[in-house]
Amino acid sequence: MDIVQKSNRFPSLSISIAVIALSGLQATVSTAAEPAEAVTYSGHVASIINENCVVCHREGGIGPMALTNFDQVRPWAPLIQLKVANREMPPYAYDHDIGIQDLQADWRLSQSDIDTVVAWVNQGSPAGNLDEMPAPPVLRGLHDWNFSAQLGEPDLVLSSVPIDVPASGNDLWDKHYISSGLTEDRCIKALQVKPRGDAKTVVHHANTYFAEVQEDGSVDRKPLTEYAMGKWGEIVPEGVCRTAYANSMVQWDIHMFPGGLGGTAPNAAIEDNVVELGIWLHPKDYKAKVTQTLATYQLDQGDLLIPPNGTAMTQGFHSFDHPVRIDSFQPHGHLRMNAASLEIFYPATGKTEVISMISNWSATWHHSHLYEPDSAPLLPTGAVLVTKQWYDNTAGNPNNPDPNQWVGWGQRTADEMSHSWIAITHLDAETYAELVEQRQKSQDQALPAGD
Amino acid sequence: MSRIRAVVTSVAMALVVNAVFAVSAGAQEVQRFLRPPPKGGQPIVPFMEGWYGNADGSVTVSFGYHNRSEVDVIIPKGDNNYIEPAQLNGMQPEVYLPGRQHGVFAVTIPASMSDETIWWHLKTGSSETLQVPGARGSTAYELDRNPRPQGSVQPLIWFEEGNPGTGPEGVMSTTVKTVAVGAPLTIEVGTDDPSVRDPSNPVFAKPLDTRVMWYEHQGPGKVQFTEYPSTPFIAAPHVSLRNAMPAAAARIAIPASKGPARVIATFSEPGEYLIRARLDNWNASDSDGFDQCCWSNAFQRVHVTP
Repeated sequence: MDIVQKSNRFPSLSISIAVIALSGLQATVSTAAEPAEAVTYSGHVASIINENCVVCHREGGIGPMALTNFDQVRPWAPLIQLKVANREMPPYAYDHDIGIQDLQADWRLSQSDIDTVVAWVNQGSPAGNLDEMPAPPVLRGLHDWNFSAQLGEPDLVLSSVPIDVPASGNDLWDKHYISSGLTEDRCIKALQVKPRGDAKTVVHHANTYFAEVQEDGSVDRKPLTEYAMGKWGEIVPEGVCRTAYANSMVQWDIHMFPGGLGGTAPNAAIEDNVVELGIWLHPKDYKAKVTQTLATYQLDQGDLLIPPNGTAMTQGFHSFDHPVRIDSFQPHGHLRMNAASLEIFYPATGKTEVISMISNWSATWHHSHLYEPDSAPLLPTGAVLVTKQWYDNTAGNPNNPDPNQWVGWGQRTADEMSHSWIAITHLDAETYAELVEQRQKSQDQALPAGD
Repeated sequence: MSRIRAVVTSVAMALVVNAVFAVSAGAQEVQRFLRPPPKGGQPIVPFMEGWYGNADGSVTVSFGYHNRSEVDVIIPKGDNNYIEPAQLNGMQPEVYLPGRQHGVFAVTIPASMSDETIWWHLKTGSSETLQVPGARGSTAYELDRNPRPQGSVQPLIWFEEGNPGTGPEGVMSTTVKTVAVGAPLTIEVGTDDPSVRDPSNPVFAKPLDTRVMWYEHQGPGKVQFTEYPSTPFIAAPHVSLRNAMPAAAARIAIPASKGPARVIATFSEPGEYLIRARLDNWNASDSDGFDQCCWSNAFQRVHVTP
């Protein structure tokens, strides 16, 4: 593994390899990263695929092909190489060289794993000794909750009212109300929204709100959680309360795209489409000093207007009158959006910090990027969130349904949006100071002696 | 609100236009350009909202527009405002209100031409001509007339009982009304919303009102709408989502979604006019302009004498 070792010693070479990989020059990457020793499926690759791919690529999974054994993997080896080298798979398009890298539920492969897969394919995708395979992965059931392994079953499951979705036609928005069943306010530990079965590809978004319907029919609502296609879920940091309100209705706001979106879209009618919301709650006596809210932070500069065969960029700004911690960042757009970033501008110093960049964003994977608590940005009062989103309405965008159309803001999949869902922990001055001090101490301890 | 003629659109606006499209063109060469488009300004942007496949093989294409300035703009039909092929030209508006106006008119491409693409060309002042195609295209733009999840459908609107229209294509009056410049003309439409909703849904506990808005669609002069005593205008300020259709002052509520809407129109110049009445049920949670459902247009032809 001489070259890989050199890469580790010389960061500039690592970066060069990554840049070449991102540019799609597969052969160049393969040559540069090829290890000297033989790489086999049984000895090296199976464990990578088992740990990172088969959760979706198995019988009944959402991946278009199963990759659970050598016979299934081998025919797809060149495509796997291409997708892995370009960081298109696993589908977690968060830039690996910009901004905060410590994320929860991070699906990205390490560069070492990428190099191994690339080298294996270049060597002819040999099987190795199939009698000496790594232990098969322990997978959750296809319909299990994503957090069931660490949190068990949700304390509360709220299901939408079933609805039939036709095979084609105009997008649909289903807004109806159910009872939450909660009789006292509780603090939320985690949430997941889960379309059942084939509904995964037709449910564009499924948002929920605590809602009160007024006498005149108007509705006051507070966000409960958000789901858009591909979202894994939300975990609320320890020591924080995100409130589930008692004695409230829950409004489902479900946007459906008949026929579905993405490679596994059924293009067929779906009967009794149901979306479920699982809520894990803290114990009743759970105490928290600070609260978290999830909200959208919108474009507020310029119009969202994309010319035919052209591109566009939007910006949004927001600041708070108190210190905050950013717990997660989830940009939202549709078929023309292809990149997004989150920056923080500090008026006191004039500096701008890039927090997150997603250079290859796709509407089929609306990840909520959950910052590890020790890395989540701490913002002093007045710091400005700067959200940027980019749009490609050219024929070069493979998701583009029609590059000859003007595209503006709208709720349909064919229209566009420009906002981000961001979970914010709202801090008082004292808690903010404590967290800053803790962060500083932990950074000091991490420094090698003598530095 | 002042009105301007496209032919006298200011040089300043033209500069804004050029700035917008300079950004767009340059962006194709630079992956991550940093200047967002400015708020507001010209030109009027034509939108193809979507297409309906009809049972007889024809295709109905719905069009709207976005006037990003704060004033009405008039673009007469002709070299600066036309649809091709020529036999499908004629229903596009000449009066452009501020904001995003959805489904203002529709064009039905007959079955014999259903593979063809129609183009709406629109030139505001001295800006470049913008165009948008309409065709049986991507399924992402497919529309339908089926009930929405909470029961909303395109409501019925008519000039003559038994001849209702629905959707953006709506209904055209079979008669031309004649009136003199400055004289009042009463225009009436009948309306009914057959949407079936679940009364156990708390937002549908009471019957919803529908709403009729009156617009000058085409004409050489200014049309003034005043309320008819039995169908007064809605006094409450209009709240719109994302700058959509903010400008129609002539709004009439239809209690319980069934009944007539009348308005008195006066005309400033002689000539041929087209008045549009738009009936919507956007008080329902599953109906909105951005949802591309549910509303219906009715077009009244008026001949105005000196």
